[in-house]
Amino acid sequence: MSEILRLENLGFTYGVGTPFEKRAVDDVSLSINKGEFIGVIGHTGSGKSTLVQMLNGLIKPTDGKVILEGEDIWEKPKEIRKVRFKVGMVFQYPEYQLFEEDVYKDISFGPQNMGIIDPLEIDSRVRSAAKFTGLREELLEKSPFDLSGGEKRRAAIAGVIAMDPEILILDEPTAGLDPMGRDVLLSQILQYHKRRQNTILLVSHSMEDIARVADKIMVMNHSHLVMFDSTREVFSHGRELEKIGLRVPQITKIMLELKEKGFNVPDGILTVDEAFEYISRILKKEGKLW
Amino acid sequence: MVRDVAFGQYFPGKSIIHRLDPRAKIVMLIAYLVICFCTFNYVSLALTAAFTVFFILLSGIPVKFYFKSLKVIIFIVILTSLLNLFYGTGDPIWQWGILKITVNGINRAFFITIRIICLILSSSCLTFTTSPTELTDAIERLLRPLEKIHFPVHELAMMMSLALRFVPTLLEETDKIMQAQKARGADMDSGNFLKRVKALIPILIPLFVSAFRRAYDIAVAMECRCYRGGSGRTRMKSLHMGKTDVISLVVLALVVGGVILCNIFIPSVI
Repeated sequence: MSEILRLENLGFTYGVGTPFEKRAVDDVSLSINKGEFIGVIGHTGSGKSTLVQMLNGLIKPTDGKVILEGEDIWEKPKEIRKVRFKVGMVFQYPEYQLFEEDVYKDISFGPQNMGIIDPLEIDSRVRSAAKFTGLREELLEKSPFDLSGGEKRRAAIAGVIAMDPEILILDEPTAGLDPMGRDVLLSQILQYHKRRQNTILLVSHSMEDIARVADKIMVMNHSHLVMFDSTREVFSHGRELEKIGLRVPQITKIMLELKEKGFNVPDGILTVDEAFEYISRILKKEGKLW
Repeated sequence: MVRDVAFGQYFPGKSIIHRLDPRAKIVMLIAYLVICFCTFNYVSLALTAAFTVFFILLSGIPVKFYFKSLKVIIFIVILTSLLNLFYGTGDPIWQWGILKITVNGINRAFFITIRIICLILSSSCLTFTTSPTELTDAIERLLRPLEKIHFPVHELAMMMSLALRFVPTLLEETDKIMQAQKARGADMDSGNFLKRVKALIPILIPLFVSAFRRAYDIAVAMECRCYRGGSGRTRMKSLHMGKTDVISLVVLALVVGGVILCNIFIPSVI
């Protein structure tokens, strides 16, 4: 797998030289490969939002470098907009950024900013983005302000996907949705990732969601990157995660406690199915099952 | 960034100025601004300027924040003083075409500069040391006599405090929306004037939508807490005039008296 993004000693300090000076991100170095699905976790104020906003040049780092496809994104500050088309960013509650008369126009805002003028190309981008996010065709004609909350969210995400970014960053895309809406949106993102084969960074507070979709996890704590490893590996450090105010998925936690009680189960179980497998194996061995 | 605006911000503190009754502060500011523009010679100008410096030092707020508030108006200061410079009367000491500079013009330019600076500094002193709530409370109390002619004083004060309360919220919101549109490739930093105005649309529309949504939310929240207008409302903190308030009012009265005396006995230079 080839590297697409590399961070070198990345750091950011808010309000340099004022009494409100605060170190938001400190000395983060890592490398992300093409096609990886990465979960970003950390409690509120740990620096995850600042970190992801540096990846597409919305925030200029005060130290270190962001290297996208081998080039420092701040080498030519005038061309920073090009970086934003390669690294798409969906903010928290993105529905508040909708502004056009109808959904179709709103989704085409990004592609138009890219300088695409061919209406056919724009049309195909808008329609496929709407399809990826599960936005029904007839909604494209409607005003974005007439949609339901979940539909607005989809429309806003489609607005970023329409730019067809190599890296897609989603900051808590499921926040405030009902459980059904969360599940559906998440599987759509996963499907999009599988079909488009691009790199996705998902910031989330839901460990269950992360466990379900991510290949690797970045753990932020007090502006530092404390872990960056495969999902299984990170979630097998359940106790350490708890120490910094995070959890592991419930099923992982149950298996961790079974292990601490002396049962022979591996670390970092992520799904109920897996857990069922191991528990039934143990029960069979002890002759207590069926 | 939009957040860097220091003008009108409140800095919590415990200085004498912070503890003054906001009503006294407002009355003093108004009286001071009037007298500031009634200075016609250098002695009275020096007196009013000294008064401003005195209050700034008493407020205990770093002087650099005062300088920051001056930055906003530097253009106005330069423009008005330049205009005044060339509009003096009397014998020109320098002339180029229709442009002429006189001693009177130089004096005028100097006076207007100092006056505007004093105006901004003293108003900043008020907003730096008085929280928005105190400020609107004081305005409500000061305007109360107008209720006799059925002027909606309470409603006006409530609108003011709501507006002030939403300034930081809307600034933050603007920032967020700007970031989100930039992430979609919105170009706000280049192009001609028309292009830049057009680039504001994707920011203004979501901002208006969210302002209306917030207005609706706060109206519902106020109704839930049985808000029904001003009549019969008591307040948690009632205002009291104290010894320091009286003393500072007396100090100001002395400055006003001093300026008036100077104007009578010293000839005007502008």
